[in-house]
Amino acid sequence: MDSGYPNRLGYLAPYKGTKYHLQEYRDAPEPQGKEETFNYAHSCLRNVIERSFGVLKMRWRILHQIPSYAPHKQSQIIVACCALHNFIRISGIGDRHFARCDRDDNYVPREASENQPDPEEVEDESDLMNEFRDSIAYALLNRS
Amino acid sequence: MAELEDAEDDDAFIYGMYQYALHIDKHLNRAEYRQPAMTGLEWVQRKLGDSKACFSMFRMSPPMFHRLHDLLVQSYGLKSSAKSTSVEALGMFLWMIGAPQSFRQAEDRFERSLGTVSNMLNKVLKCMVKLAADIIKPVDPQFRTMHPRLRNPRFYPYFKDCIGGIDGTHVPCVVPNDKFVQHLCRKGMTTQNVMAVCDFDMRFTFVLAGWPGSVHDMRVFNDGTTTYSHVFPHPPAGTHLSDSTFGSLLFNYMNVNFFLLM
Repeated sequence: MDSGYPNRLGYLAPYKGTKYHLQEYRDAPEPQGKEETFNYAHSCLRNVIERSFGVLKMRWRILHQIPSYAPHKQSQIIVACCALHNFIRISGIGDRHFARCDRDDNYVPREASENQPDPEEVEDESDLMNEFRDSIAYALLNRS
Repeated sequence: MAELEDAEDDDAFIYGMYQYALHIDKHLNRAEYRQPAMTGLEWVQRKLGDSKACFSMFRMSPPMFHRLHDLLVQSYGLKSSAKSTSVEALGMFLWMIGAPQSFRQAEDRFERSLGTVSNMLNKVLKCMVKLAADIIKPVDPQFRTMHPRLRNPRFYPYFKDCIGGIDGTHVPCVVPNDKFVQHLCRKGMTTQNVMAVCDFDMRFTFVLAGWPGSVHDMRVFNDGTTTYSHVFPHPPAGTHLSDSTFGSLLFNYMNVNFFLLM
């Protein structure tokens, strides 16, 4: 899958034009080559944000369709939902949505999966980050 | 001359009567007071007594609700007014964004006028925005500790400096006609493009809402990292760009934290 964001300094994107999403790896043979190996590890780690979006949208269902409030109110509601999400996470009081995620590292709530990355090309790749990515990819590939 | 003055007096009289009629219509001719079988507050309190119902209605457990309420009252200026208590206002807010429910439904459920519903909602929303400013940020702005998940041999040591993930999501929203096109996303819905950064504990450390759905992720990302650079949880950088040989650049770079991008 293509990536919407470039490889910038401090920001590490997956390889483009290679399998990326966990679902694609689920029914496939072991990842092959450095790109797939890297993307698989990247995807496993990065799913934390997809899980967060999933829990967020599962809980605050207004995010499925915000009614016709004033535009700045709509943005405030989105931010408020995220704040409540953090509050619940930090509170230390058990919560069933988060508990489900904590039980299974690979669980991604259904709500999150509608995201499709943009197909457009991105510019501004950082050579440094690309080198860095290659170094991780080779290291992953060569570990025992 | 005298006739002219009479006519002016008549006009003034008629105008006065007209104003009086308006006054009566506005202030004395109001709808009867509601006589609810169960007030909004009673309803909220009843739901708080049953943890399952509480979760369904307010999307959190009763202890969580009370802790949130206490925090908002103590630190973020949520107050009860003469007409409504803070518990009812918070309950209404959570019910409206969680279920979600419309103003009309809140009017009926809480036995409040539309104006009161709107006031209560705005009051809580204001507190929430203040809370957001304090709670949506990295726990440790220096990112000194490594998250336990990264100790897993699948990731260690390759990703040991990683501090979180970043991605955009589209939130469908209803927009006025003149903003329809700019909010149209590729799926044909009107949306906002929301970018968020989160750490490995699933806490958001940065959220940028407000960009219309037709805008490319990259533009939102650039806006987040430049316009909001003072709050954006940048990987602490700076030292890694020393003008030395490439080898040491890479080496230095390994000590710098990074994000995972979509």
